[in-house]
Amino acid sequence: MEGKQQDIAAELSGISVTYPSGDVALHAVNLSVYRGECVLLCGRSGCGKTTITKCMNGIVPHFEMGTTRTGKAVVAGLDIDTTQMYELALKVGSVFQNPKSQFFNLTSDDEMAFGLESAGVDPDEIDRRVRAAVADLKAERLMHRNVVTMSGGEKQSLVYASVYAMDPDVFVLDEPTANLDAGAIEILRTQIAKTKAAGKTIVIAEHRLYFLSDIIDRAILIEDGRVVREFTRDEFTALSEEERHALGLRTLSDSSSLTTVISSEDHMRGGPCSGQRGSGLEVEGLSCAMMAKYQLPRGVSFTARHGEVLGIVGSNGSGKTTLLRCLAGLERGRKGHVRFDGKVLDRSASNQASYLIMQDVNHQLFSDSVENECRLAAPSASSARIDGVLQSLDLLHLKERHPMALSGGQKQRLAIATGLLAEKRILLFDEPTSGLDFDHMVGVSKLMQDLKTRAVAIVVATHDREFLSRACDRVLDISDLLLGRVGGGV
Amino acid sequence: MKSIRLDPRTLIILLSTASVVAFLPKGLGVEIALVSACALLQVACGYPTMAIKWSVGFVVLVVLLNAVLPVLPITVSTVFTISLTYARKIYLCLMVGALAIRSTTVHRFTTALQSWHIPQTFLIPLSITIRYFPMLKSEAGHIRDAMKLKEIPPSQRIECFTVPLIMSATMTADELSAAAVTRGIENPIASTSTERLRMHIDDWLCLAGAVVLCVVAIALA
Amino acid sequence: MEPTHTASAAVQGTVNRRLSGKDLINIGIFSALYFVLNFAFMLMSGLHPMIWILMPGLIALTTGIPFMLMCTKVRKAGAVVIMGFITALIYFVTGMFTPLILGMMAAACIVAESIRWVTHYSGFAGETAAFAAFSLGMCGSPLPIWIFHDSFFAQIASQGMSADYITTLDAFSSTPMLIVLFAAPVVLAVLGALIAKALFRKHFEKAGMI
Repeated sequence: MEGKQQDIAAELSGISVTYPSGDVALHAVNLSVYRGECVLLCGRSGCGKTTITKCMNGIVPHFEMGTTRTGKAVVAGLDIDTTQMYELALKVGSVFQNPKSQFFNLTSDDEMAFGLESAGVDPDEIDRRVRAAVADLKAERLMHRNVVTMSGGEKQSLVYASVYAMDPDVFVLDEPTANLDAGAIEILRTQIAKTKAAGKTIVIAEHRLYFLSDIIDRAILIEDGRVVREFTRDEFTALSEEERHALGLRTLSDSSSLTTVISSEDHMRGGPCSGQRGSGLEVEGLSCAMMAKYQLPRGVSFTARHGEVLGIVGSNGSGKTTLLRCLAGLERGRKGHVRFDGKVLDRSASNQASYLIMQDVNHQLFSDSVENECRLAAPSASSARIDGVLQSLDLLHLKERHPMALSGGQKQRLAIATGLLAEKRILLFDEPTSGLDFDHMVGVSKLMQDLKTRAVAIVVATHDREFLSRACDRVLDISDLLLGRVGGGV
Repeated sequence: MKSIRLDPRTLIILLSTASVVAFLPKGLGVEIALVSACALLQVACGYPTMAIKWSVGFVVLVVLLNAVLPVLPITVSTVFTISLTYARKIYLCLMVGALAIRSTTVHRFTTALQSWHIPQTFLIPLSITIRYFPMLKSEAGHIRDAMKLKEIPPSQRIECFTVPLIMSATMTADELSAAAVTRGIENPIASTSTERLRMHIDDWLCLAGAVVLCVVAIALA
Repeated sequence: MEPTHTASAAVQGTVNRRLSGKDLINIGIFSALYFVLNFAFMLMSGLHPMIWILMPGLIALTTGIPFMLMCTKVRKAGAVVIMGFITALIYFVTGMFTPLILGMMAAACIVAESIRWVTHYSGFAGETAAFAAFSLGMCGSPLPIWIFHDSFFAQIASQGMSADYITTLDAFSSTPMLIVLFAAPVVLAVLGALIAKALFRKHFEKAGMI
């Protein structure tokens, strides 16, 4: 920094936060953010970086009942304690993780105007500001649309643009990329870059770091509710891989520079079977009604052998999800052949043989305890067997807990446990590492490798390159699959 | 011919007049005149297909009630007569309702209600309810798909469907509120609107026409 | 040492009784769930007069969960009125409402709100009673069979139905049926509330969501 003290956009002094459960989220945190800076808050899951963002946009203490906060927080010249949330909204813009639950209108134009309308701004002024925001962020493609038909990435872009239109001084972003695919993350990056260029202050709490390396001014490492280290951009990008891993941080390199081998050929297909195991999953000419719009008529073909983890990459998030759903027999108008160990599976057989661990695991947990969830999946399984599977997934100590009370990673492992107990032969994973920090991502990749020892076919759709290189043995690109550049077809 | 765009307030008043006329005793001639008037309105607003569908629907309804149901066995006719008769009575309301839904957005509608001094305390939940319908549908779809991949015994199916759905609704409510409040939804100042609703000559003409038809229908009853 | 702030009571002041943004959104979401169930039964009631007469009761049986959840999360005045308002308004705009239903729903909501106010927005008995009152609002839908009896049957007769048929149909507009119409929602509301409570205990409380 220059010698003269820059304007301070946000200052936290002696902030300590305790949640109603008694957990202490932050211990006497002191933090200053200067005007025009982009500051990254990073650290392991549960370190407190999200809580810090909540202290900056007023969620703590105004919104969360029972959470106590001591200390002083001043953001954009406003004292958080004495300022109403709606007054804060004019100066502090917030973007959260879930694109599906941050919009209020069904048309994008109305959504852009929403915040300004709530603030009582004159309609002509609203139109002007919306137009300016759209031009700044190059968001023309988002205008005049039905929000429901937008993809997750487009929704998040719309949320960002709506907040931008309010022209706040400080932007507070809480893991905005958690549910986005690679293409959408790139768009968010350009939006953040533009925001910074406009002279705004940005505070972003994130796990995914690679897209921020050019934008941040400082990175602040949080651990167990304390600020432990502060880096300048250069110091941060200069960290070695080992140092990063020790701190529990994800990669900083651009995704394309990670070495991943993408097969342009499905070279295992047609080869001899490995050992006594069957031929695994063979897909020929697969297509469905939804995929038809972006694939060639001859459909998708590939194989996934036993003892390998097959990764499917590519920025087309919806293409990957649709492919997995189609494999599992959940999509209408399915054509082509799916075979497992030589046996042809029709749609309902695919339902029985496959298990899809969804992006939102909450949709697939039904019971009132971990144990009962397992019993639901495998009614005839013995207690010993259930305990064995739970133990291998580090869930045994949570047997009596309600599935919804588990953490995200625990829920995911529970879903996997039910799939294993139900003796599913085809395990499909849809973005299993969204929003996970480094250690948990490594845990999931280890899990994938462990699953290889069972007689199952494993297909993982992901855009997480760091995870890919650890977990997958072979990688296919979704565009290649859809356009028939792999597998030779029928 | 350029189609007219009615102010939501006009549509609400038209709906009200249709409700008034609904349960009046009407001769077939009067009914046909009123249905035709509604169909014409739909065409004028730029929805000719809608007008055709509803007109044909009316004809089918009358034919069913007058010619088909009387000759069917009592068990069958009991099932449908009361409901179809009811449908016939509120047919005008349904026609205007269909027009209202197609030609108005929730945003326009809440702006119109706001101009009638209905407080934000009512309008915000209303917007949220309607905005949540599509999401409810997609969540339900995902849960049903997840259930397909598990063999759930019939006795537990309702519970297994309901619980994740309610959990999802609760979580969505929490996330949506956080986003709403940080966007300033609690601002006590009067909300403005980019809709700029104004009653035009088209609106007044429609209202006048509706009042006339209403009076005539009452007089003939 | 800076003062502790718990939900910034100092800032909120009297807001504790006013509906906050969070409350309004909760009401909106649970009203959506309520409406979908309500609408489903409304459609089904077209199949048979008996279903139509039982419709308010069937709705009461199934909508316990959204209503009771909303009552738990919004322990303030106005939640029930807003839920009723939204339901009535959507039906009105689709053309499926009559002034009669509107009147009955308004009355039902006012009674329900009063019950909630008197029982201080807590206690299962109070919430169930409010729910029963609220559920009576939909009785205005089949009520025209009795209230506009003559107009209805004149129309049916003019459509050429036989006299046998008319007497059969007339059985549905008898006084015992009227009693069933009003009794069903009360009884089934209690049942619906009990189901909701059981589900809350088993799942939502255990998961820490309430």
